[in-house]
Amino acid sequence: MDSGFGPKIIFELPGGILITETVTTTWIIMGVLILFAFIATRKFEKLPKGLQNVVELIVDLIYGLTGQTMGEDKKKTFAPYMGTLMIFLIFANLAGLFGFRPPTADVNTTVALALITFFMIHFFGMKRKGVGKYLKGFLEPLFVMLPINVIGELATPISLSFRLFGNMVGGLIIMNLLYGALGSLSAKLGIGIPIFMAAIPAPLHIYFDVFAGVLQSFIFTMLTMVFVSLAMD
Amino acid sequence: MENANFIETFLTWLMSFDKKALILAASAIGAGFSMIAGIGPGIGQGYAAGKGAEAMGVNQKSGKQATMIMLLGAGIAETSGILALVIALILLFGNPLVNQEGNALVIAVSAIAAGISMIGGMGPGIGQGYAAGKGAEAVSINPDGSRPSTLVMLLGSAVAQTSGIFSLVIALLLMYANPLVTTKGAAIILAASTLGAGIAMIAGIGPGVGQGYAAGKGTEATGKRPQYQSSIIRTMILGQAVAQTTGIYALVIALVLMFANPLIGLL
Repeated sequence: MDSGFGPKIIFELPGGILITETVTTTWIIMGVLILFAFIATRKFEKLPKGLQNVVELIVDLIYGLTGQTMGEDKKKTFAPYMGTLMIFLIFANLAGLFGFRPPTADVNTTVALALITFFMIHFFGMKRKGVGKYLKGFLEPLFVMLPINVIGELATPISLSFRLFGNMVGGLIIMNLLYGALGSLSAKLGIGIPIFMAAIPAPLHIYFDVFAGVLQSFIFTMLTMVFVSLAMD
Repeated sequence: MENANFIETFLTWLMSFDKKALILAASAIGAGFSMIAGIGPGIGQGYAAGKGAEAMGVNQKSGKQATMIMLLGAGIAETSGILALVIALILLFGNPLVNQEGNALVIAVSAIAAGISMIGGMGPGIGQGYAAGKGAEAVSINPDGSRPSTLVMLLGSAVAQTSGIFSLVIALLLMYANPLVTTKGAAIILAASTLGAGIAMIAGIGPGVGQGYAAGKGTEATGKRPQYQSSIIRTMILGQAVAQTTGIYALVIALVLMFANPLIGLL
């Protein structure tokens, strides 16, 4: 991406690896989540109260959703990863509200997550059905369908990653341009303080950051769940 | 033979303009092309409005709920129109191409291609509008199933938006980070590849309409039988993923033309 809207490079590791703000923001999100998990699970009471209530609610929701979407038999295996994925994505997409550049606005993050899904789909498909039978499935319903089926499988990680990336980066660029436009509007009218930036961007933030962010993380997780369970059946 | 001379004359005439003037002129054309995407939300929201009116007639008691779902879905359908408007406004008021370094012809064509790329947003506009209409209808038939069917409508509409997002990504790439602007090669091939990348994204119309139809039917089915919500969602998502493939082909071709162009070396 152009230097204008790409992630800033923070420092460079020996060997030429660049650490961008995507990586550092991801570290911050990891820190927050690990800290929260640690604090919330320190003392478990038989009768939950306070923070433990909230945590149990979240876990129940995640297990419920996973059981509903993938089938009750797969709940125990997949709910932890699906919950982590959804919570990480929600935090990552909402990072824009806190002044960070969302790590999911970097195609590297979204492609990495989509590749995890891709490998999950094929690994668990092969594990459940056996390698031979799973690969034979690509010749269904007619063996000439093989190239079309293969391309269809490759389309999954591409669409997963670009859907999330496009939504996030589109919102980012639009908000940046809006702030720029409001700033230059204030300057043109000769007002020193950028008063237009106070209230006008707020509803757009709610749409682009909150609504789109939460919806896209939900979609990514749901699609992962659906594709993995379909490969296993 | 006459045709070849005409193209040469046309290109020579184009290059006779000042670089900045050429790019600004192309931006104007690109902004115009981008607004063609408005066709989609117009059709989709009109359908939703009609279905909303029908829902009010069928079941007056749940009319308020049906109207809210209709407005929610219509708001989602508006997205493609807004994205197209944003691209047009960028081209007109915050033009990033005017000061770019590189081949003037390619930069100018990038503006036009970015506008053409947004035409693909027409599809999601129509599809999501259909889903919104079906959502209103589902509420009128079965008010108890309104929560699950709204969820399915949102889910299906969000997947249907994908083609519009791909178009937006290509348009933004063309405007802010077109690699062909600074590639070495015949300017005519680079410019034509840029234009081709933009035109390829028009394919987004198809998956947008199709996935929106799937979303609408999923909403209707969930409204009628909320207890089957999860299996309905699974089938809908599976079908929508298959429908996405030609949109993916278009995205891949556009990216290949921009980043891994095989034609430059053939000359």
